[in-house]
Amino acid sequence: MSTRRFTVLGAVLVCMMSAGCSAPPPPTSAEDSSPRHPPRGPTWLADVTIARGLNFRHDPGPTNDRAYFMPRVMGSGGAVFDFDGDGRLDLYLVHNSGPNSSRNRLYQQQLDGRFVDVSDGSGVDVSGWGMGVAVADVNHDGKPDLLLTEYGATRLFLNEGNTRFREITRESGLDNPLWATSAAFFDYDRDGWLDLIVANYLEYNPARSCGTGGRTDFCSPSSFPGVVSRLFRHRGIDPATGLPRFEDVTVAAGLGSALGKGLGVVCADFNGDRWPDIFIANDGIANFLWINQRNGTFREEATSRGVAFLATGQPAANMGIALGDVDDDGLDDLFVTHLVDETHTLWRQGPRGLFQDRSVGSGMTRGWRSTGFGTALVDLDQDGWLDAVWVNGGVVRRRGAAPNDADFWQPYRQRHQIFANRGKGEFQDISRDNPDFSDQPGVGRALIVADLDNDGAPDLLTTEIAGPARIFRNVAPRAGHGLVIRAVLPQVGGRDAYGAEVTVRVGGRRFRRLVQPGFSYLCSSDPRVFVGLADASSYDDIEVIWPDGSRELFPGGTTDRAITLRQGEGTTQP
Amino acid sequence: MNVTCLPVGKRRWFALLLLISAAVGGGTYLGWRSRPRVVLPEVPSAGVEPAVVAEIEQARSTVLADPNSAPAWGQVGLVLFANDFYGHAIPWLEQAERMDPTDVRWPYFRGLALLLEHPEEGLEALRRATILAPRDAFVRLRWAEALLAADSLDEAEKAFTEVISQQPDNARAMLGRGQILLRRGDPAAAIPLLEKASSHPTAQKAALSGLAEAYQRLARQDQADAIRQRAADVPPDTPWMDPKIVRISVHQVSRRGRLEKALNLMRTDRADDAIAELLRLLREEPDFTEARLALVRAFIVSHDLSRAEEEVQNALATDPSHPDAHVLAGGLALVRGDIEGAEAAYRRALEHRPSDAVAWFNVADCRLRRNDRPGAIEALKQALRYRPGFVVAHLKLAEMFLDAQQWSAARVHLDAVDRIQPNHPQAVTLKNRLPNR
Repeated sequence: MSTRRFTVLGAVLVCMMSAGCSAPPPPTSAEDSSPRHPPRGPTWLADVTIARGLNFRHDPGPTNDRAYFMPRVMGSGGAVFDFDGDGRLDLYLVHNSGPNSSRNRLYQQQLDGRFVDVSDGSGVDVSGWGMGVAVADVNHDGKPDLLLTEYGATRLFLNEGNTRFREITRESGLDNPLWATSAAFFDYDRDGWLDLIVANYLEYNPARSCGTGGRTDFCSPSSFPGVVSRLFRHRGIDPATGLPRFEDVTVAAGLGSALGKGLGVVCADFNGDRWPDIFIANDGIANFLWINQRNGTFREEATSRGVAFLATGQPAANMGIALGDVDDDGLDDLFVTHLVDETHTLWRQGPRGLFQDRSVGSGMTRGWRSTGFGTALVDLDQDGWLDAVWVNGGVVRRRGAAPNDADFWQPYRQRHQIFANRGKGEFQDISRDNPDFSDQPGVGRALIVADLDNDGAPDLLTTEIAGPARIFRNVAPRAGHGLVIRAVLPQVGGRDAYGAEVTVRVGGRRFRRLVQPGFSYLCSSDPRVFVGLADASSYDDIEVIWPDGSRELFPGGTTDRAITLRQGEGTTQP
Repeated sequence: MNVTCLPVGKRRWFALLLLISAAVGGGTYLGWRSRPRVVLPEVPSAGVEPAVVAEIEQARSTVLADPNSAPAWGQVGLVLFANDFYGHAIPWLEQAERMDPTDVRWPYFRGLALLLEHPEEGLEALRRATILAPRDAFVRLRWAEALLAADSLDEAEKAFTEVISQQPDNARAMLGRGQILLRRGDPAAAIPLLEKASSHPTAQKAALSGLAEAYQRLARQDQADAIRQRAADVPPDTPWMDPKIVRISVHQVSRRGRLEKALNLMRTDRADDAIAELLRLLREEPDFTEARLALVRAFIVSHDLSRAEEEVQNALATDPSHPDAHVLAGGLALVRGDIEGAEAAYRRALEHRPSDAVAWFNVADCRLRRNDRPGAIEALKQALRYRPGFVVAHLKLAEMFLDAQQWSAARVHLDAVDRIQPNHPQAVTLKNRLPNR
């Protein structure tokens, strides 16, 4: 045996004994592992929060007391609305730190576009376990009023002008002591008064503690029974009080039979009969699609219409909702955000009234996994196709992450995502091109769409738990022309025509939009609709199906402007 | 003594050999002494319950003792997986697979862990698992379902079909294949598969939902409606039983995991075993109120009301604001005929959880037993304020209004029951008492 062979054996022995030849792989990081890449395309969204003077920072309450009180992790939203009628959108942003703590804030937009806090003495500077906001002119006086949802309450504030609001919850007959989340106004009985649907979440038991792997964390919805969402019918103005009066018709309308876990809500005509229906995104159980029976009642048809479950037949953690025609087939599709270990789901409509889960083929499942909440389908670059955008934020800590004493919300933070529609509903992840929007992790909850600077392009506003509300100005290179359309009803005080369907016709294409600020999650967006028209410098005409079911045609014109369509001023169509 | 000496040449060789051996041995020893320490992947510890930490540490110490053992590495992965530390489990399972590429458990559990956040890698790991265990239907079906979720319909269909060829009555495979046919726009072909799958309790809701969609797409509205109603009525599907997951559940040692085990024993009518498990748990975790309340329920199921009473008082001593403890105390008071005590307990529950419609209903019951009709009506209205679809509360109110000949008020509640649960037998009976029928 040669010396050399001994030496090799010795080396092998050393190697084997050291176990160094089979070194294990590096540990998986518990940090946010979503990839960061250098941008490769133009930026669409620029953070202008500071420049616009917005200094709101959400208060979810102290983290040392009742740290895992579940309403804290569901976040709060807000609204954009022109409360002072000056043509510039103002803001209302909600805290959820509990009673006698941080008060919700009202911001008035100034001439220079900056937002100034005018909360004190406004009457909407209230505190509580604040959740969402809906906006509507409930007394037809031309001024938008505010509805605030809370854990344990739903409150209505009448806009009295001069930056003053008056709470009229009790007088209006609105009584919803449950955990209310998203809410939307719509005219389900076509009487001209806006009715109200309030999604309620679940019957929470604060005494219950939860967690995984022996670590305390927020509970999942499966720990608690569901509750009934509430439908309130607007009965007009009470002659005795001069105030709007609502009646709880939940049971009478047929909604009392279904216990859900509602987080998102959107009202639209899902079956093409020109009567508004209600879609409620339920967390962890089948969604509800309440089809309007045109007699004051609704029937739940989510299962047969394909939007109750995922393609696998399983329910998902349904949260935020966006509605829009992503593939230009004339039918609105439905996008709902889900948990990190599910995919967000795009239900495409077709044939009319029936939906199919087409998430994977759309390209929207590419990109990093996230827990999504507020979302929108909006044509940001005016190329004629609706893009998809959503905010993310965990409801439990990232898998394996330990509680962070120094920064409680750090293990819940995630990065937001934006997908460009490259045509016919094929989406491409462009998050990497938008570092302002997508590189800063947050516990995202509401996402609001609004043209805050009135430049004709929809901007975004986001809210985060324990983080700043942020304004993202739309700086996308315009791929074409566009229109900003407001549809109003002069016969009822000129309020926005919630539920109207606006279709702009250009050549052979039809661009369809719904007037409904209540979608996404816990928020109310700009009531105007934004229509990207690609290379069309003019349009042929605009068809409006008004909330009362009537149809009018408005003449064509040039693009790149804001127009207001008034019911009764178009040509009536059959 | 006769000593034989080696020749000089051979002695030189022998000395050289000794020298080399000493050098190799010394080198080996030094190498062993200065060997790089085994670098183990991170395991969670901060904020983790001591029992879970101990379970992980025990598995981890086996790796330290024998770093070349694939089962040792894999075991740490399985313990982490069982306690929901999926991300942490991945590197341990990966190393186990590297050391022993023949054990299906390592790619299977790694695949499941990866699916949650890195689905493509998860699919690849599951694919390897199917190769290692070609006749394991559970592995293949899990892979097929993941493929279906990823819209890889061709591969998913192949996998489901393979299972059906081996097990023609496998409901899970039929459900998957039926869903694929539905996705491909062939509802007629999907119907027989989904119908068969719908007879299985674990596939019922998903299969009926698919069937309703299939009939709707075939414009067979009546059948779609009927099946939709069935789908709405059946309880949610439970997850498919997976023997591999069941096997690792012994490592679920968190107090919540142990409580779940006890509750499962209760669900399977093994109250005595549940009581034993809960008593063990409470010896170690005496302040775990939820476990104590589970114990109260187990004693009630076992008709041992005195011990139930004792434990509910213990629960209230530990956590006087727990609404469930007050509700249970109220129930026990009712059983022993202490109406006043029961009402007080329910009201205390409502102080902490005013949305508890059942507690309001029970307060109404107590008020009625104490001949306070207005108080009962008020409590029932509160119950309906929080749960407007509470049929029993509507019926009770209707009955009370009928007794008082308040016909229109009674009619309101009977109409509500009609809306919520048409043709409810008690409502039909009560309606017969309305004067103008």
